[in-house]
Amino acid sequence: MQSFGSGRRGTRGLVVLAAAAIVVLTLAACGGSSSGSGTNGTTSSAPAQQGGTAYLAEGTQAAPNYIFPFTPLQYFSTTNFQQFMNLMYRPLYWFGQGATPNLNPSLSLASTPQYTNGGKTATLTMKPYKWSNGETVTAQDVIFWMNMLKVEKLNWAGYAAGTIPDDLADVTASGNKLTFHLNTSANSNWYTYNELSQITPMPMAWDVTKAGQKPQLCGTASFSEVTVSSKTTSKGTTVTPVSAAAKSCAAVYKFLASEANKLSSYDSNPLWQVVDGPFKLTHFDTTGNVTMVPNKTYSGPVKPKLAKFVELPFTADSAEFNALAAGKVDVGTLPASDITANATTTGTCGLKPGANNPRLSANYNVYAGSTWQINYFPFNVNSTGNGGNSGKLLKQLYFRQAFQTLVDQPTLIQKVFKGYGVGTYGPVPVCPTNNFAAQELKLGNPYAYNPSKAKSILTAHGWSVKPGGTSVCSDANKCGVPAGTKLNFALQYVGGSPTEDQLMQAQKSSWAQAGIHVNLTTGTFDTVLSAAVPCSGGSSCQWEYENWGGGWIFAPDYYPSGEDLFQTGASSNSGSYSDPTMDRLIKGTTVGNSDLGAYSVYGAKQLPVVWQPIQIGATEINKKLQGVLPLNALTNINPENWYFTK
Amino acid sequence: MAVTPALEPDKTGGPAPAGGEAQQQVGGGLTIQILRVFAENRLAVVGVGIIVFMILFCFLGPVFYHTNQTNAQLALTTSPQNAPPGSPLCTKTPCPLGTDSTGFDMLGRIMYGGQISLIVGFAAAGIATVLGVLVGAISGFFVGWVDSFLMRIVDVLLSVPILYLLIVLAVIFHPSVEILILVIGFTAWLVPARLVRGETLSLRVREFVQAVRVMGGGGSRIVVRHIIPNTIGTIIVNATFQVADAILLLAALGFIGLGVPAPQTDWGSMIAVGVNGADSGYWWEIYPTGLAIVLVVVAFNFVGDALRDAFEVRLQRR
Amino acid sequence: MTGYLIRRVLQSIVVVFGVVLLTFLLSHLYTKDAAARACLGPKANAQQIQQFNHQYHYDKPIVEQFWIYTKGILHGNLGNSCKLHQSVSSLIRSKLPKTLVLVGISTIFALLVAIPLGILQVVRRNTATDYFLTGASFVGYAMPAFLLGELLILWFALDLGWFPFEAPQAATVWGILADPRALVLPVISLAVLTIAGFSRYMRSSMMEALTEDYIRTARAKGASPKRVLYRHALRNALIPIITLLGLTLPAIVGGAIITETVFNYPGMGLLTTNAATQNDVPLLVGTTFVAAIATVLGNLIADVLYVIADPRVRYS
Repeated sequence: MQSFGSGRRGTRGLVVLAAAAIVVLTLAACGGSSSGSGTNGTTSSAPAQQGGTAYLAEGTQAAPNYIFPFTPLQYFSTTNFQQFMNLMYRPLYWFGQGATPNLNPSLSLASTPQYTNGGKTATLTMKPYKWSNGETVTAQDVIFWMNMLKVEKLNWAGYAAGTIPDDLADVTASGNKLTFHLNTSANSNWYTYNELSQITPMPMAWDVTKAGQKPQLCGTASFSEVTVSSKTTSKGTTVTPVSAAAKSCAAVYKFLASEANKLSSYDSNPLWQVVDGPFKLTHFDTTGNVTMVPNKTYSGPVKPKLAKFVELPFTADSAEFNALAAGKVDVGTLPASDITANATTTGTCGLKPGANNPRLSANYNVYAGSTWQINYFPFNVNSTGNGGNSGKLLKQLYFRQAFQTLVDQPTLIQKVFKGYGVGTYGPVPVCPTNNFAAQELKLGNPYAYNPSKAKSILTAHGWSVKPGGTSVCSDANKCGVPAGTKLNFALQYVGGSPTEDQLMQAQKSSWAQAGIHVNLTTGTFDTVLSAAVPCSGGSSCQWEYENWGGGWIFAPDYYPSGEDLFQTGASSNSGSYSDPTMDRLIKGTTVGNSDLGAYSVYGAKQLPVVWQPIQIGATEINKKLQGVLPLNALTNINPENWYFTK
Repeated sequence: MAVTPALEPDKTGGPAPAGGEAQQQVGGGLTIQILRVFAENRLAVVGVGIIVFMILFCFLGPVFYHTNQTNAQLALTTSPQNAPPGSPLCTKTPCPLGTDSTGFDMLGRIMYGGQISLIVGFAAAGIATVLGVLVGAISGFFVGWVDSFLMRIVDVLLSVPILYLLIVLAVIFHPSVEILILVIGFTAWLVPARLVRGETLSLRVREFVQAVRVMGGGGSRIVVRHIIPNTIGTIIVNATFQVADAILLLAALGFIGLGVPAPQTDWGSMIAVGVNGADSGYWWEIYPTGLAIVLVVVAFNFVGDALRDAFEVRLQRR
Repeated sequence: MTGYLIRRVLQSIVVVFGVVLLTFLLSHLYTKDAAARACLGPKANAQQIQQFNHQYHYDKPIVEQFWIYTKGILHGNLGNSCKLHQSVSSLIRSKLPKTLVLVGISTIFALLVAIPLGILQVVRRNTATDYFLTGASFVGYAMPAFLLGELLILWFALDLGWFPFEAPQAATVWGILADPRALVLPVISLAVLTIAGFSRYMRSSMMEALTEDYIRTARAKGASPKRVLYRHALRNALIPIITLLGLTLPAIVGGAIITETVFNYPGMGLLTTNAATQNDVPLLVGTTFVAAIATVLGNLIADVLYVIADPRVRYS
């Protein structure tokens, strides 16, 4: 945010949001990867040059720090995955086509999975990709991953109880054909986008417990040969390897994870030089400098034209901005505080940046793209606050409607985000324009900002509305709570970000228009997360609203089906929201054959959480660098597409 | 941050006056002494003048010059942002010092932020002084293992640079005005504790203390009624510097981002936000606030220095 | 003297243990699962939190955790930074030398400026120069370090362009020293506070020294004012500087946090601020621990040097 010297305040704000969204650093790490809805096309008539070095600015204070694709949750981030590992180790399925979040068959390592047997069997065929050490990317490489997943699932970022590998009876390979045998039927979209999306094939060269060994059992055994015993106590779940193959997986994981802890060895360790992606690592240091060169044996459809791809670390926004101004970076982020002209929105997702910052406009164009996420904060339907009445109130749809109707997302986006934002109106991201949100888009925003409507909703439900003060219930039958109850709520959000402060303060005064008194407090990130947990009542269940500022980013669960968020008892259902219809609709999308239409519309209308606007980063791209657009919603970058023009 | 007390090692409780003189320092003599200080020392008068002016400015100012300092939504929608002083865009209030990035009137904001800075400054200094005096007096008087134990704690805490300790505490106990007062006070009591302990050590062997003991006075009575009043000079001098230090510490925390949470603000947080606009030339978001901090801290230093000169002249024979 | 030294060393060891206890308490002032949630983020489910707690021993009883922590420190293991995926000790090892360089250069610069300034004030006492310098030192005292730094950047880096707007970004100490132009503003910024305090100390200490008996003796023996000033008063006034340095060391090390933050200097201070904004408590506590140890060592060395330098103390 600070545009000279060092911006501690600036980085803190962006960093808090980034920390809240470990997977994707929406603001700071966009680095050329946000989808470009409303940006111009990608082609340029200037001739493409071979070679050249492109410099990408990493997100502020977000340097890559993990190289082993079997990543624990704390290192599962855009910086590590989309901007680092994915360039070297291709995931089985690539998500992100153009600006959309769709499966990209041309960049995937296997054919699109076919579901038969009522959704219980998925078959796919591996494409002929090669590893850089001469190995072929085979079905067994996938089974290597699956074997390790069976044993070390607790160390995998995407693991949730009951999902992959728990939902598999077996995985079998025959030649280059792979068959997944599920325990029960699953919705094919859901399984492809949320479960198979978690797989990265690993080379046999990694199937070792020390350098130079022959492949161990873990990678060569079949999925059924890996047996573990799982025990769940109050202290937690433990997974103990039973068979020899399982023990081998534990040993191999231990070795690879310990190698991944040695950051300064990333560029010299021969293990990490075995790649199947378009780039390989030639230089890496602990401050975050990354240099990659094209992998000559890359089997993918587009071969890199660049001679070198470099990522530069920055610990302050101002330093990154000044690097842009000095022309040292080809693709970087324009810090929010340096945005000099507001962006405008045409239609729902047509985000058009304003004029570029004058210090950059000579050499750069600015773009904005949406990210595949929703922003919201939860409320606790079991809250015992306000004399036990908060929970009761939050369970009432009318109250949630009045509350949401006072959130003026368009104004907040214009004033607080300088136009660089999109609204969240339902559980499925509407931007960038995609198929999943078609129904939600048709619905529009059912709770557009309307203070008088909010007041009338409350009045109609027996409230004596006191604008600027605190409304009081005058008719217990209509309110749903005892007469005399006041509309007093506590909202804790993560402090330290002036943007977040403005956002919350503005909404607080907005809610006050209908006499809803929201008492804002700030906390640290972990305080807020620790507070926003499901509880069932009692004196420790008093939290009402908690806002960690980041909502939910859909990765690697690219299919926004909500089973982690809004289903009864779901792992991230912080506020204990429970609705049988919602459960049924979600089940339809994960197990049944429904698309997301009915679910998304229901979620938009039912307000299981409070929707919030999403801040979008502004990406600066060197005018001479082509192939970067369109910015992808999943923040993938494809430097193999980049090239310089004269 | 002023390190004055620590910088003057010879002042850490120098030779106490002879028994008789010690009694004179208590009560009316003290007030007269202090007033004489201000009569003789022009800088001290200037200092007090500045402090009084600032207090009035920050607390009474908003009564006469009323601006919106808490409603961000209102500011965003009705006021121009980053408007220069006297800008014609300021329609609600004349904004003599311009507006900040949210649209809040800068002059009003300096008053508003000053309230917090001054409150935290005084309150934290108060806590630090009270705690430090108690610990120092108890430690110095009862000596033995009590002294060793308490002074080891002081040593440990003193060895951690204050700003480090502050940052850790502020990160763990997320900042609110009350927490900040406690945290700053908790890190600042060490120096007065050391000072008072030093004075107590020499006072406890004074004849008048022996006399009270002979008459049957208990330890705590001696500490409260005889030791502490005789160290008042040192305490007051130190307390004055404590306020200045607390204001600076709060400003430093605010600059890092660990200051008072919205919608409140303090001068340090204001500067932190203000420097974001420096590159765009929004000087009014930095200089006036900076001037306010410097003035107040300099004023307290003037006063503290004058007081110290006064007490030390009486303490030491030249 | 040996007795005194042994006592001081023992005392330092006790203080170090106290610091270990303090930093452990600070890093464990956590509610249950807080460390896991801070590290794993909002997507963490119950299994992942439990796995994290198990891996980092948060599920063990607090006393056992303290024992693990202390054993770790004895082996140079200060824990891990989750956000950066590096051990705290390796992070500090790479940044601490740069902070020491900054602090060292600043302190030497401060002394080189403060001592002559103090002498100047004594020589021209109660003249306009004296008042001006006294006033300047007051302002230097009162100026928050971050404000001074930002103003220096504004005036000399952005407006005049004489110096770069941020400190050298090199990864090694030699790289930093190879860019002296970029070091000027940070060094000045950090030194101002020390200069303000030291020059005032020099002034009052020299004035006091000039009233001592040995000065009268020297004058009576016909020494010139200059000789009196430099050979006698100055030398005696300088000895406590050593203790002074020891006492101000915490302030300088702490002040480095602000200066490094303002100038983006890649030292331990910046590491601390980043850790604070990232809520990286293990790293934060690690830097605090190291800062405390550095201060204890600094004070110990200062006390030892003082005893060696001051003959009066040696024979008492």
